[in-house]
Amino acid sequence: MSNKIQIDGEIRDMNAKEILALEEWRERAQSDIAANETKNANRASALAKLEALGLTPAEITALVGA
Amino acid sequence: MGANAQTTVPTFTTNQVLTANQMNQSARTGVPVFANTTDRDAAFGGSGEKTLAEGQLCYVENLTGVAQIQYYDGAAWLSLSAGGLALISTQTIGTGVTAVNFTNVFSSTYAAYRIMYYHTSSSSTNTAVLAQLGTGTATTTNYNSYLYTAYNPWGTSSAASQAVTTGFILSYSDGTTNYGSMDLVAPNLARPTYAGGHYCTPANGGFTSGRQTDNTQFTSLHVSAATGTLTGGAISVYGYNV
Repeated sequence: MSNKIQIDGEIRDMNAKEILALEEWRERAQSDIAANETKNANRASALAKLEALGLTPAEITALVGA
Repeated sequence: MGANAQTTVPTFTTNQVLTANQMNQSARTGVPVFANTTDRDAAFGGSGEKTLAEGQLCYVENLTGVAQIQYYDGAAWLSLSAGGLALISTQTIGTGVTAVNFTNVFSSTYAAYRIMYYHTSSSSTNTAVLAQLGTGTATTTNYNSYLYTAYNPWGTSSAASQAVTTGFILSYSDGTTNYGSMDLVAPNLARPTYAGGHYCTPANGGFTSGRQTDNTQFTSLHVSAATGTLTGGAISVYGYNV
């Protein structure tokens, strides 16, 4: 499937150079996003464990923020 | 009272014989049009010409936008400022588009810009939508961009965050309709560009901020999802001065 690029309203297929540049920065962006999603999952896990220990939501918020 | 100030706005009757002063007053209260500022400056104060004074208006053809309308404040000619947001460009997002680019949207005319964004769907159900600056092609490095989801889902105040270094995070898409708004400060100046905004989806919403640290005078804007394609909706770029 081709990658379409829209420039000032005109749509065409991306050329090879554009696709290469796109894939390069997307790889870096997806690496950044994956690393943060791991942090988010760890946070969610930690909050769940605090709740399991008996802390109320208000106490958890007071301890770690929203 | 200055030379342009009036105490009456005259109207004349049929067959009334007008004096030179009455004709001059009538002629002087119009808005003269000049091809350029050189012609403007040469049109006053000469033999048989009006003396330039505070309150004089004019229209200069070779200037652009609202700056063509000028007034003389007694010391210098000043251009009117429209104030508010000035629409520079808008695009309707096509179907299954990987990137939407705006060429020549950033210039020295405006100190800041606002991007108003929405799409109706994205092919990925979990992707960041990035705004990248460029000078024709997108610059994809030296960004510090942060998205903070404050309401996830709506009705709660749980939080999550994202950070990337490849562009400003304009929004975060779950595949459905997605809205974002972002202000860019000084993209066309040779100094770092700062960004800040907010986004929302049917499921959640939050805030964004970031900076691009190059001392580059950017001229173009490039919007892409970090994964997949975008469909429908529109992206608009507005300029404003602060």
